Amino acid sequence: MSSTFDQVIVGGDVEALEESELSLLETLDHVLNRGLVIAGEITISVADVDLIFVGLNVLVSSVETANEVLRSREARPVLSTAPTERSADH
Amino acid sequence: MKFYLYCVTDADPNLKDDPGGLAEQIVEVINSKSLFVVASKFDGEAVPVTRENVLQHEAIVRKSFSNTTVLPFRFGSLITESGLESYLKTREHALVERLAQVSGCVEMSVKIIWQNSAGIEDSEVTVPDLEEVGAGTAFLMFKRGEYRLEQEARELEAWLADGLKDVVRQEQITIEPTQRLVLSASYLVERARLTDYRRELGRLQAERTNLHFLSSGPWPPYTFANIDLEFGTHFGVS
Amino acid sequence: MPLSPENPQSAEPAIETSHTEEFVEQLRCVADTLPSRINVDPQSVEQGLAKLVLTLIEFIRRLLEKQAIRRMEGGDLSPQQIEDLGLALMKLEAKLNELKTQFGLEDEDLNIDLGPVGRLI
Repeated sequence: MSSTFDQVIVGGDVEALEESELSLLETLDHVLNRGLVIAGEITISVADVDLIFVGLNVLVSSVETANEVLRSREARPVLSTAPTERSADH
Repeated sequence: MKFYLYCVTDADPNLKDDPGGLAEQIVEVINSKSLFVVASKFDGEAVPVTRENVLQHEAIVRKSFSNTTVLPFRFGSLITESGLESYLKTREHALVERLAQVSGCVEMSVKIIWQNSAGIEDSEVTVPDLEEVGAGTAFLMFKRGEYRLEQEARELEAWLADGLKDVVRQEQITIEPTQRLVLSASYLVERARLTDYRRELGRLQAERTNLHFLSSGPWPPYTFANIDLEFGTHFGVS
Repeated sequence: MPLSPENPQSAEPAIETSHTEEFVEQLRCVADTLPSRINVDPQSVEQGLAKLVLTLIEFIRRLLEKQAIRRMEGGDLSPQQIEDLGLALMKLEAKLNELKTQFGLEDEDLNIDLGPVGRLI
């Protein structure tokens, strides 16, 4: 893990990355699940699901650092809701 | 060499030669009678689901949407030239009809996360120890909890549908009672009624503060584009 | 979160939520299951028939389950009867899942849309 990644993740940057990831996920939900379907002609390949997030390699390769920042972020009242259970079964 | 398909439109979206097609291909616009198909050449048998491809697909559809009425294709739609000819010939009437139905409208989406079995007593959804009851009994108690969750989820669906019915033209809602992401809804909303829609949604959100909402849009009408009945498609009827 | 622009036609869709992290987590789960859901083969006639039959069995199975639960709650079943009923339904569910796997069908495939009548399940 390159140390340069650790420097990129500070405070608001994690939020921006999350929003970017959320945007991608919402987009995925719209383009991949719906739309005109040509029966028998849908061909997609997903060699590695993480390819989808290749643009977010900062998050992917610095998950631990991100989690640390997220944990400290959760403590801030303006961003937290009632403590929620992280679903562990996915 | 196949075509990668982005959308069908009812007027020329003026995207010919746009360089933003997948795999660095140029966008082409194919005209057949009153329909236009936005496409690009694609070399290969499958379309990788990468961030870049997904965003490029969405961008082309959105650009088309800014100029005309569109029916987006599902991501990853590949077709031969003759296949496209045949598709347009057999589907022309249905496509024209559907374009008219979504004309002037956008798609708005709502997703809801509930924290736990919202409103249901913990004792009703947890499963007792197998030491206390047998496997068969535990199974029934587990199922009881699931059906109660389902009831709550359907009630949520009805509440949302009722609250927005006057400001949307069409809706499609799916619920997953056992998931935290319990509800996912898409609405076909007339552009002129977007303000009303947002106001009503805001009102509903304020009514149930125990729920977490995500709203997104406006989107091109991805959810309301498909002309093939699900039943028909699945049973091989074309 | 950014407000939606005045002109909704060409701008990117806005995404509004106060719970970004939560939705990222939940949607990732959905995204992870997407690839296996994309059906790339045209449905065979055999599979179509299997789907119809299995859907009806699934419908009945759910009815039976709900009835069993109602009777369990109504108190007119002995603990042993409840246990036996539960085990039988458990086996039925397992058998149905086996059949679904054999025909390559998912739960969603069995939920046929009957149009105005709604979904079967």
